[in-house]
Amino acid sequence: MSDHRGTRPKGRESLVETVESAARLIAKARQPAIGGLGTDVDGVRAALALGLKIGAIVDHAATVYERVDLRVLSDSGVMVTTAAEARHRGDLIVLVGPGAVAWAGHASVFDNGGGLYPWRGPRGVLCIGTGGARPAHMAIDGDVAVLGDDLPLDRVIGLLRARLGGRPVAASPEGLDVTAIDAAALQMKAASFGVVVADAHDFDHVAYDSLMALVKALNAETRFTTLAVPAHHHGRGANLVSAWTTGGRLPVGMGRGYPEQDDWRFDLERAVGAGEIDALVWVGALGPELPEWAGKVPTVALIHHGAQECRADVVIEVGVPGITHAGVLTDAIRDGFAHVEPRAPQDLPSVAEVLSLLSAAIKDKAA
Amino acid sequence: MAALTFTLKAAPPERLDLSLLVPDKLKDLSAREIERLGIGTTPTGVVVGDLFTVSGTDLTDIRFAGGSDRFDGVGTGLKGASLHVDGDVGAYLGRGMKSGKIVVAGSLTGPYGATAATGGVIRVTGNAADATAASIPGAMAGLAGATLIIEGNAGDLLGDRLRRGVILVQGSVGALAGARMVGGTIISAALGRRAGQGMKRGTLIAGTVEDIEPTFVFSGSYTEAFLPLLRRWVASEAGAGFAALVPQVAQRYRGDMASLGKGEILIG
Repeated sequence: MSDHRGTRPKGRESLVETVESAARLIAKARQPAIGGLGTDVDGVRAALALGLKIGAIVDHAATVYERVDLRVLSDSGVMVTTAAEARHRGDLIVLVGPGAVAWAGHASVFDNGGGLYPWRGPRGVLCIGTGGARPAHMAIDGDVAVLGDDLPLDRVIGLLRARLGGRPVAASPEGLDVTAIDAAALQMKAASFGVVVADAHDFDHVAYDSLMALVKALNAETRFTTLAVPAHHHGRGANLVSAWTTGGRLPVGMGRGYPEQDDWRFDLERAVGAGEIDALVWVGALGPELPEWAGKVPTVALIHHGAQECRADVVIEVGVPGITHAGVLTDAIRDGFAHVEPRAPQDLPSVAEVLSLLSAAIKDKAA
Repeated sequence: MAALTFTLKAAPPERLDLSLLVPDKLKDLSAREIERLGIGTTPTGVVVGDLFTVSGTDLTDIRFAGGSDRFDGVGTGLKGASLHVDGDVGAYLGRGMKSGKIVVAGSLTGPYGATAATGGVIRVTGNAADATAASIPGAMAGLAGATLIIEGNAGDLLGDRLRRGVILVQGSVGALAGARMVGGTIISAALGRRAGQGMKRGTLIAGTVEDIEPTFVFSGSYTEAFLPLLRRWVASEAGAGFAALVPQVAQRYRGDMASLGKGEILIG
């Protein structure tokens, strides 16, 4: 591992020394930040505690999940279900956008028909604005219906909402036939339990809000709900921990001694670009890797055991919850927290342990 | 009485929250007390006196000599006073403003200028960033009754969830102008893509609209008495240059049919 730029501990004794050099780097910063946050519940709690102590901005790497999915939840409200309900009850799975198709094929939520309710009819699938993508590993009865492969997602959702409400539309420049829109609207209305699957990465908050309004409108006549593609790198768990700890979702800034939520001011990439952040602690036990923009600030990186490349100034190898040590993580399929036993235990420090040491080291400097 | 003036001494080393520097918050404070008000956003504890020289006592006329893209919250909740910034400002200019007048001789470099402002007039001589007059995440309304005048261009999401009030933009506007708006008016030379997407009520007026959404339905030429009345009002509020943005005859599109469909886009 000699190819690393930064210092890296070689054992428990050197961990203390490395943490001290990390503490020096952070202690002199005016506005530190803690990013990535790919870690278990204990790790996020430790990060928020450290953040409050040093007045840091804290955010998770799953920014789209926060700025689109969670934003629309607070803007307008959403109807959601679990993967299990979707699999067993859903007689129409509506995949909206290419991300939904990719996830439905990969996450094995729909790879069997779900046999819990014998009264459920056959399972249909409707692809909306998926750009030609079709699910490869879904259990489907009949053909996959398709609408608006060539249209921007926001536009095809708007057209569907209009026709569903019986309102007129103009001809779309892409030449989408109104009868095709009406047929899709009818198919959705005819479902007994429809499930819209969507990936927030395919949307901005306006388009996602529109999709949620479509689902709400469908509930006037039948039952319809949504299943969002889960946030990457434990983003949902990190935001839940933030909600019960700070009262709000991420990002939060604690520069004034109390947590404030602000998507724009505390956007790490923006703030680093604007020269507002002068030290970064990157937590990547579960990933992701250090982003390009981190190169502009002094960085302490907590990376998972075995990560080969890291350009941070101080690099600390940590264990991976559920692999090298036990941890509490959200289970995206069950949509709950779960204690996960280690699969291959190793004597590596956890994120919580390192951040607590870091917090203690900074206190010592201040004393 | 001389205007209460905050003269910027040095470039701010961090983002500043200037929401305290409005008459309601300053009225019982001496100059020394004002200088000790915290305006920093990091543990460093930056106070007014660190960055500004404070002079004058007239709380109805507040001036910032010098601006910065790190000036957040200027004129928050302003009521009945006049506020002038000689330079750029950051986010949340005039947030929740009730009445009075704000002039920024510069640009809005951050989002959410005039968000939830229910009254008064804000004039910006430069450009406006994305999400100006837009609702902050989780809020029901963006601009909510005030008048916002932008002499330059505006970015994307201008007036997202606009509730009430008028936005005038001399130049062009980015994508998603008036998205999800429930009332109010946006008048501009040109609107970008996805204009009015999700709007329920309200009016967008522009010389051109890029790639108008098919959920806006053409409903004829519009020559009602309303347009000359509006032009006269715009001339009195913002000047003849802005009044020229209001057409004599407009092509009217109703929408957004995806939403309630009681809004309109007038192109002319």
